[in-house]
This record gives sequence, structure tokens and C-alpha cells, in this order.
Amino acid sequence: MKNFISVCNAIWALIVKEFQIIWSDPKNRAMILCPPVLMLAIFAFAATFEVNNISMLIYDKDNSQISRALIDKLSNTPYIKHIHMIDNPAELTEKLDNEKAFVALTIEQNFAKKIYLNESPVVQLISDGRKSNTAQVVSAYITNILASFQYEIEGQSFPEIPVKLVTRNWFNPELNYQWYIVTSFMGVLVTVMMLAITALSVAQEKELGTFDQVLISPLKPFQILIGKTVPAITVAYIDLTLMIIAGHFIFDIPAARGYLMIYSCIFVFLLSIAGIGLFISTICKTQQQAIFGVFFFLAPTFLLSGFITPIENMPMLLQKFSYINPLTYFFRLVRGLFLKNIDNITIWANIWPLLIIAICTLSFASWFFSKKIN
Amino acid sequence: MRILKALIYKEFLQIIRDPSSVLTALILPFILITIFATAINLDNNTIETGLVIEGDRGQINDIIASFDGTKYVKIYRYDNRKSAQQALVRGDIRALVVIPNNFAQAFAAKTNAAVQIITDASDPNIALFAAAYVQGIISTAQKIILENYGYNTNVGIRIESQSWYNPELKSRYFILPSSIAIIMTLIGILLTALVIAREWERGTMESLLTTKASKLQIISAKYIAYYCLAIISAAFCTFLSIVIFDVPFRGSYLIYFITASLFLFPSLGMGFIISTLTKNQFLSAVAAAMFGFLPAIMLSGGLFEISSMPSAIRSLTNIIPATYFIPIIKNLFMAGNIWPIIIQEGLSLLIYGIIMFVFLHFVTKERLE
Amino acid sequence: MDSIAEIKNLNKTFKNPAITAIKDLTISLPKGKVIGLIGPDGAGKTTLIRLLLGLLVPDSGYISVLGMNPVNQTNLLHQKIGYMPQKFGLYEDLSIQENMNLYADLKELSENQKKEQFEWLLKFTDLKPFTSRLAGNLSGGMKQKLGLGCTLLGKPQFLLLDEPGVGVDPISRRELMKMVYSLRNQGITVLWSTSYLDEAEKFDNVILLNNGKLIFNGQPEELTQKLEGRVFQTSHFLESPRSYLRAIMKNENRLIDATISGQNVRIVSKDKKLNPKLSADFYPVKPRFEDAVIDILGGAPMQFSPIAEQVNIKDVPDIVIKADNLTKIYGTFTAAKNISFDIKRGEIFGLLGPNGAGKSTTFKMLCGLAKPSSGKGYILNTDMIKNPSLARAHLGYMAQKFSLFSTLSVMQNLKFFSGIYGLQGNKKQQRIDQMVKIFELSPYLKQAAGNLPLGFKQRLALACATMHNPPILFLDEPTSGVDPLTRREFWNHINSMVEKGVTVMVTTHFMDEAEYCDRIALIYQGQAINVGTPDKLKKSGETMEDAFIRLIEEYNKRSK
Repeated sequence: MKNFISVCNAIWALIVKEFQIIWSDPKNRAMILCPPVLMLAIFAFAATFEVNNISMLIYDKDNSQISRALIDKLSNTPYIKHIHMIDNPAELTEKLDNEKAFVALTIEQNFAKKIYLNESPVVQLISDGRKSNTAQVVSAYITNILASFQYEIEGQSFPEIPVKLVTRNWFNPELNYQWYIVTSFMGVLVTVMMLAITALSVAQEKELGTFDQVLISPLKPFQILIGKTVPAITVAYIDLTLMIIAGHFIFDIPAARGYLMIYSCIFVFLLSIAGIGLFISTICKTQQQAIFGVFFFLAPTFLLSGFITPIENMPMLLQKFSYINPLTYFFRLVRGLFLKNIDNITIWANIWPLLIIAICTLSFASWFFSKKIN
Repeated sequence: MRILKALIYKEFLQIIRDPSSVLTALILPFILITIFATAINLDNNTIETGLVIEGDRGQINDIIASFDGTKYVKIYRYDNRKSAQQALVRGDIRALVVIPNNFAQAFAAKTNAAVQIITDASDPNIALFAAAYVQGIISTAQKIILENYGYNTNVGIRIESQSWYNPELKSRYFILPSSIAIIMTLIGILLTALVIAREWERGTMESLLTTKASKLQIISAKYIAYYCLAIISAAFCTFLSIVIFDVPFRGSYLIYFITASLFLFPSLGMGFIISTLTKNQFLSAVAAAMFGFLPAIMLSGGLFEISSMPSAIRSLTNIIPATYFIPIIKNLFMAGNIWPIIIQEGLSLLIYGIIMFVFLHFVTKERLE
Repeated sequence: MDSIAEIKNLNKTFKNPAITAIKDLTISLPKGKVIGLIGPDGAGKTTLIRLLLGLLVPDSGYISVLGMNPVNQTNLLHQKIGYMPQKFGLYEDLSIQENMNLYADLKELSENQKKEQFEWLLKFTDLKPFTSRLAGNLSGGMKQKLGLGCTLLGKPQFLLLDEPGVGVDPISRRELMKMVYSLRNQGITVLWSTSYLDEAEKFDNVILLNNGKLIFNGQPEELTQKLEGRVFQTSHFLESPRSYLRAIMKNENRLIDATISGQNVRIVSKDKKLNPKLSADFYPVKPRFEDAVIDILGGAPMQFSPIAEQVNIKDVPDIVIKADNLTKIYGTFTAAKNISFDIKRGEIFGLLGPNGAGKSTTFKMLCGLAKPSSGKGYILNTDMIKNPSLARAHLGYMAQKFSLFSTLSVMQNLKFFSGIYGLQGNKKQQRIDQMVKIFELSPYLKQAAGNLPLGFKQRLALACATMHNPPILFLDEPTSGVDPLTRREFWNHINSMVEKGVTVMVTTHFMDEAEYCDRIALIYQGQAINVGTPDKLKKSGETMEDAFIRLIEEYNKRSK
């Protein structure tokens, strides 16, 4: 018992030391506290697949009342910001080429006439494929506008629609894109911070020679590991709390499963990241190598996490990678916990893989420490 | 000139002797470009959708059939609404279409028959896609039904829709060029972020400063050496994109080379400045990720449209060198030499690079204080 | 006499931490001499060199080097001087040849000059067989030579060397000295800052600084002469040298220095009279320059360390450390081969040897930082491999360069080291208070360990290593780069503890410190070529350094 208390004391000394090192430099403090929340807010406002502020070219060969009415209707739509009228195809090419406009609509000469004759007039819609995603969305918008325009001018009662589609968006009724970004980036930013702390800390101590001092103490490898893990997780919780506060007050994100559950589940995620960071740290000799190691892990993990492209749309081989990608599980967990009110079974389904990652990486790091000592 | 040459040669030797930097310059881009090419796309994706038919199938076979025939939606059948909703919460499916109990009667009676779609809007982008796809399916089905009833559905304005530069609207064609810019930002910052700090740490800066080498020469040598490493890395990425991943290249390689060099000028400068100012490797690492890598992905216009961002954020994007390079590289790949863009953005890069260089020169100390 | 540099009323202060580095210094450096720059840590040696080079700008005063102003005419000046900074300024990932090429180009030597000077330098430094080896893989001595070689390119008229001897073995230091003198004979002026006073003794001139002020400027003999008749060797006393040392420190107030030298004690008196209270034979010996420096700096600390009162060693066997055929093989390289020795309770055991000879490896195997390829190490009869944790609880370890957490404050370091050795509660606080008192750390408690003066770093490191009252101390070059006064103080602490039964294993490059050891193992080419008392290793009349070099030369002859 006495022995146990003294071991706890020793581990506590490690934890306090680690904290003091991280915290003693005001630049470090600033780096830990400010950028995560700042970048979270910037990215939340920046990243959107919504399409706004489109510049459009219109080449109106008809120049009739009806074509002008169509242009009028287009100019009143929210996502089209500018409409430039042009009068020759050369200008159209030039403006599209130089990205002065994103989409061009050409109205044929007998547009009005054809409508009166109940023939099908043709409008040509050219979008800029250099941004294929936006091009698709814009084409769809404009097609819809043209359809509704048609009903208006014809005044014709189209056959009553027999099938109505009722859309309900669960978990995020207003389709608030920021909720998606904020919940995702909590994980990404906290991963950056934790990896930097854990991966560099051992490498730095190796460079300074203090790691030998710790190794030579009576502490066992796994105790040293606890001393490295706890401070990193604490810093991560501080950052997460700041980001959760921002999420709650700035972005109104609900906490469907309650904060207690959120905080507890996140612990397992943080443990897995700490394990990975320490794993990187043990295989690197210098801090520079550790930094390279962090990015060798971070960049692919982020890209394959399902944040940009859903995992089910990736090639099979890369989908397999998601089984060992902690961010994937984290995203499912946080969205589930904040927005969806998932049940315990679903929570567990995303927790145990994280636990396995944590156990594997931490035991490797621990094994490596003990090898180093003997 | 001779001093500069000697310093550059020294930097090269150091690069070659340190396998981790060569690894970072070649292997990391290879991994990332492969991921960008294969895993990242913004195209219409197949969305896993649940389908629950509550009532009797009766006259609605046409509608149900049209769900099965689309490539954008992968249908999973559920017996009842409850189990399907659970699947939605669990995340097994991204959307759920419910054809309710009274649908067949309402349909037969030509009153408003409603199909319900419930999306998992925790990923709003997919929710939007799902709703649009289902809407499309219903419209098609409806058209068939209307035609069955004898209506003419082909009247109306015909839209001839086409897309220039990328007629098949493959998102890979614009993601890969942008990703080269993103990768180069990361590599540039990573390679350089420790270089100057290391020179002070090992005491070699002190030696250099007592030779004829000037501050300008020391900095320039580093720029040139790491520029060469980064441009090789960029050429490698480009080669992979064009040859392996089949992205067309329509501009001039010479212009590409010149503009890529202009782009590396401020990017490397940023890394050197981080290295000079932080001197602490923890700070460099976090700064490289938070102010280098992530903004390059999120704010450069590579994936997310800058014009759709709020104006405050839009002005922030000007800080990121990749913002200027992405329009150039995208056009060189997909459209060709678009001179107004090349000149405008190229000039911006040049000016930005000069500012960075001057700033670096300013913060690099010539004496020890 | 011509001067190479003139300094008048020079002042230099630093902010953060606030230090007055140079205070109203007026001095003239003579041309064509080897000038030693000495003084305790923080005296301003490095600052003075950097001011002469124009790497620092003075607050006020006048400096002229070779008739140039270092601040305005930096570039012109740099063409005519050579500078070797503390870590030699070499690129570790470049080979010898590449380092030399780089510096030759930076000095804009012509191809002919390059060829001619390379040839001369490689011969001069004996580095010719190794030109393609990376600088990082060289031993300390070779790095030092290469550093000097690079500095000499372009034939500078004035050479500034900042502590070139730190961490370098005596053989290499002797070679460097020879090289520097041959340079002087070619008309080059050398300014050499050092903390090895046996080195300084051989200089033409020395400048002694203390707290930024000039204490002495002249030939070393001038200073040494004053001590004539005041230095004695005592022998044939009844107690052990350590007890005797303590006794005279306590009872004799006319001493300014007393050190153990094998079985004898060497003392320096305030005047030529010596108190008859000393119950031993003593006879006058030749004073050393170090004695004179200690004298002029006010004498060495002459009280035995209070740390002894706190030491409490129980249940320690007679053989405390045992090396049994320790062997370490890295790939194809045998770093240590069949090293065996026993260290007895209360012994100071020294590991000596040139750089790269295998003493660090031996040291690391015994404290558990490296696993032997074969053979065994025992600490207190515990096998280091079988039960490392248990064995490690009994040792205190002081690493090279002190290995403190430099961003943590003194108090935070103390708390950490007491914590990881399991001290807690009142006992912990009590122990920390004791350490603060013994090592007089109280004015610095809140200061970051990295900003402490070197002497205080050393004190703190020792405090941290002995916090848990270990019966065994491992000291790895504990005094590297530290001035003589601070080293005296350090050894007072060690001697006090050893008297109470603490066992010490130490590596050092200071040969006078080797004489403090009860026994020495001389490690060379991975083997313990000699083990014995210092007196046994020395032939009569030899200094320890002479003995060191002789033994190695003898070994070389034998193995040929």
C-alpha cells in the first residue's frame, strides 16, 4: 500500500513536470489556447458546399419581353449575385475563360415566338467545369428556375402533381453546415494539438538528455507512459471545452446525449491519439523526425476520415483504412452524441475500435521504453 | 557568387544526408496525391438509402421500380419504419424514404399522395444530395405515370446544358491540380520550418556570421536549395497526376514551371519565418498544421468555393499563398494558358514572395543579442 | 609592443535575464602571442570574444581589432580573423572535406590557395586519412582539430577560440596546444578562452576576468610566482586523505585551498607560515597557476559540505558495484570488451579514457541505460538486467551537461526529482528545504534552470541527484566546462558524502580530479587497460596527465 502511494506520487511528479513544461512558455500557452478556437470559427464560416455569389453571363439574342422577364427572375434569385449582359459569343468565351463569370445562359432568337407557338424553345446553359461540383449545383438551380418560370408564363395549370415529396431533415433541421464543420474540426484540431505534444515530448527529452534521467528513476515504463499521457489528455480537454463552449454559444449546437456522455466517450478517442503520438515519438530520434511523423499520420488520416468525401464512396482498399482511423470513429461518435442521440450500442460500436487502437499503440510505446532501459 | 554557390552546395549535402527530408519531399506527396486522386471526390455519390413501404404495393409498382433503377441511390429495404429509423440513427443509412400506409389509396384517388424522405442532416451535404436524388426519382416516376395517363410531358423550355473545360464534370480534374498546391504548401512549410532554428542550435550560424557570407546570402542559399527540393516534389506530383491519374494538362509546361516557382517563393518564406520566430519545435509543428496545412485545404479555394464564403473570411484567404496559385494551376490543367489569370495571380505571388523575403531578412539576426 | 586589439572602457549588459557581462574593461591584446582568457563562469569570456568579433554590439566603449571597428567594419574584419565557437561550428552531416571546402569557399580562397592550404592543414591536423568521414562521427578531439582547421583557412592573423577543450580528452588537448604554438611561431595571435587552468599555465599571456571586470593581465608566471613557498604536499597522516582534508579544513584557517592528490593532500596557504597543528609530514612543492588563480579570486570554499549530516546509508554490502565481463557490441563495432571491476563501499571510482574509448558505454551499462551484449552488472548485489527498477531506486545520476528541465524553475526541478523517487508529503518538503539550504539555492528558486549560472546548474543537478539519499552516485563528466572554484565546491559535497559511506562512480577529463578518486579504471579501445589507485598509475614525479598519456602510449606499443 505504501509502495502504491509512493508510485502514485512519482507518477504525479511526472504529470506535474510535463504540465509545467508545456505551460511555462507563454508562447506555448497562447498556442494551446488561441488557435484551436480561432481556426474552428474560421473554418466553420469558411467551409461550405453551398453555392452563393455566382456571376452569370446572359446572351439574350431574343431581347423580347418574355426573355427580359426570365432575366428578371434570374436576377432575383439569392445565389446569383451578378448578371452581365453580353452581345457576342466571343465575349462569352473570353469571360468564361478568365473566370469573370461562372455560368452563361444563351437565349435563342425566337424564344418568345416559340413559346407562343407552343413549340419548345431552346436555352443554352454553359457552366464552368473547372469547378465541377459548383457546376452541377448551379445547373440544377437554373433548371429549376426555368421550370417554374415556364409555369408562370404559360399560366397553364400543369396536371396536378399526384406525388408530393415531404422532406424532413433529422438531427439538423435547418441543414446548418456549420454544425458539421464544428463537430468534425473539434476532432481534427485536438488531434493536431495532442500529436504535437505527445510526439515531440519524448523526442525533445531525448535531445536534452533528460529522458535518461527519467529512465534511470525507479519508475516502470508504463508509469512513465501514464506521465506522458495524462497531461496531453488534459490539454486536449481544455481545448475541447473551449471548442464545445464556442459550439454551444456561437453555433447553437445541441448536446443530444448530454455533456457527461460526450466527455466520457471523447476520453477513449483522446487515449487512442495519445497512443499514436507516443508511438511516433518512440520511433523517432529527433524532434524533426517526430514532426515529419506527425504529418505522415495526420494528413492521410484527415483526408480519409470521411470529412470531405463519405467513406462509402472511396475505393474498397481505402475504406479498409477507415477501420484503423480514429478520426472516422470520432466523427461518428461526436455527431451521434451531439446531434443524433445515438443509443449505447451504437456508442460502443465506435468505442471499442478506439480502445483497441489505444491499447496497441500504448503497449508498443511501453514495450519500446522498457527495451530502451535494458 | 562563389559564397552563395558554396552555401547552396552545403544545403544540398545536408538535404541528401538527412533521409527524413527526402522521404518527406517524395513519399509524403506520393501518398497524399494518391489519396486525393482516389478517395477524394465531390461528385454525385451513391447514397445509402433506406426504403419502407408501409401499405400495400398496389398501383405504385412504377414508383418502387424507379428506386431500384438508379445508380445514385443504393436501396436497403426495411419492414417497418421503426427499424429503419434506428438504422438512420445508427448511421447505417444516410436517408430514409417512407411510402406511407395511405399512399396507394391517395394515389388512386388522385388526391395528394405524399412520399416522405427523412435525411440524416448531421452531414448536411449528403442530406441535400439525398433529397435531390429522391426528388429526381419521384419526378421521373411521376412523368412515367403521367404519360400513362395520357398527358404530354414534353412541352416547355428545353435546356441544352453543357460544361466547358470538364465536360464530364469529373471533380478529380479540379481536385488534383488544387491538391498539388495544397501538398506543396505542406511540404514547403514542413521542410523549412526547422532549418534556421537548427543552424542556431548547433552553433553553426555563429561560424557562418564570422565569415564573408552575408545574411542575404545565407537566406538565399536556403531558399534556393529547398526550392529545388520542393520543385522536384512538385514535378513528381504533376507526373503522377498526369500519367497515373489521367488528368489532362492543357497549358504550357514552361508557364507551369514559372508559376510553380513563384508559388514556392512565398510558401518557403512562410516556413523560414515560422522557423525563425518560433525556435521551439512544438510551436513550429502546431503552426505548420494550424496555419499551413489545414487552411491550405479549407481556405485556399481548392475544395471549398471562396466566393461562397462570408466576406470577412474571404479577405482572410488572401493570406494563403495557395489561394493565388490554385486558379493558375487549375487553368493550366483544364483550360490552358489563361493569360489574365496567370498574370494577375502570378504578380500577386511575386509580390507576396518579396514581402515574405524582406520580412525574413528583417527578422533574421546578424548579431547575437 | 604592438597590439592586435585595443579595448577602452567597454561595457555590455544583457536584458532578460539582466546581467552586466562586461564592466568598464580596458585592455590591450599583444600581437603574436597566445593569450588565455580565463575566469569563473559568467565572467564575460564569451561575451568579450563576441564583442571582438562584432557579433555583439557594445553598450559603450571603444573596441578596435586589427585597427578596425568590429561593428562598422565587420566584413573586412572577418576576412582577417578566424573564430571557433563553443561547439566548433561544424556541420555534423558534412564530411571533413566538405566542411573544409565550405569554409574555404566562404573565405573566397582561390583554387591554388585551397589546394595548398588543404594540404598543409590536413597534415597539420593529422586528419588526412579521414577526409570522407562525416564530422558528426568524429571523436571530440578530431572535431576540435577540424574546427581549428576550418578556422585557419584563409590564413587569419588573429584566432579566437572559445572553450575548445570542453569535453575533450587530455591527449587531444595537448595536441591542440602544440598546434596553436606552432601557429604562434608563424606570427598568428591567438585568444583562447578556457576553464582548464593547467592549459592556461602554458600561455604567453593570460587575461583573468571576474564578473565582467579585469582582475589580471600578464604572464601566468607573474601570478604563479606570488605563491612560491605557500604550497605544500602533506603525507603520512594517519587518517584517510578525505578525513584528513576535513580535519585541516576545520582546524586550519590559514588555508586557501586543499585538495586530495592520491594518498596525499595538497594545500595552499595564505602566507608562507604554516600552522604546526597539522600532524603530518609536509614539504613545499612548486605552485601551479591554478593555485594563483584561486588565490587571486579569494580562495576556495574551505568548509566541508553540510550535506554529510543528511546522508544516512544503511545495509550496504562491501561490494557496491560489480562489473563482470561487461561487453557491448554495436553492429560490428565493439564499444566495450570484457570490462570487470568491483567498487567498494565508500569509494570514489573514476573512469578515465580518451573520447570514444568506451567509458560512456561502460558507465551506461552499469546504471542501466544500455543493455550489455554479454556479461553482467550488479548494483548492491542486484542484477541490473533482472531487476532494473529495484537497482535504479538506489542510485543517483547526474548526466553530462546536467540535463535539467531548462524551462522549469529551480523549485519545479527539485519537486520533480523528489517526486519521481517517491518522496512525499512532509518528508518531501523537508528534503527539498534541506537541499535548498545546503546548496544555497534560495535566491534562485523561481528562476528557470536554463538561465542559471553554470555553477548553480551544477549544484541543482547534484541536489536533484541526491534528493532521495542514494547510497550510490553516478556522475558523468559532472564538472565539464566548470571553473576551478565551483569544482572545489562540488568535490567538497562529494567528499562529504563519500565519507559517510556513499559510493561514487565518476567520469572526467580533468586530470587533477582523477587524483581525487580512490581508484581509477583507464578505459582505452573498449578495454580496461589499467585499474588501480592514482598513485599506482603514476610514476614518481609524473602528473596524472603524464601518466595517462604514457599508459596509453605503452598500450599502443604493446598492441603493435
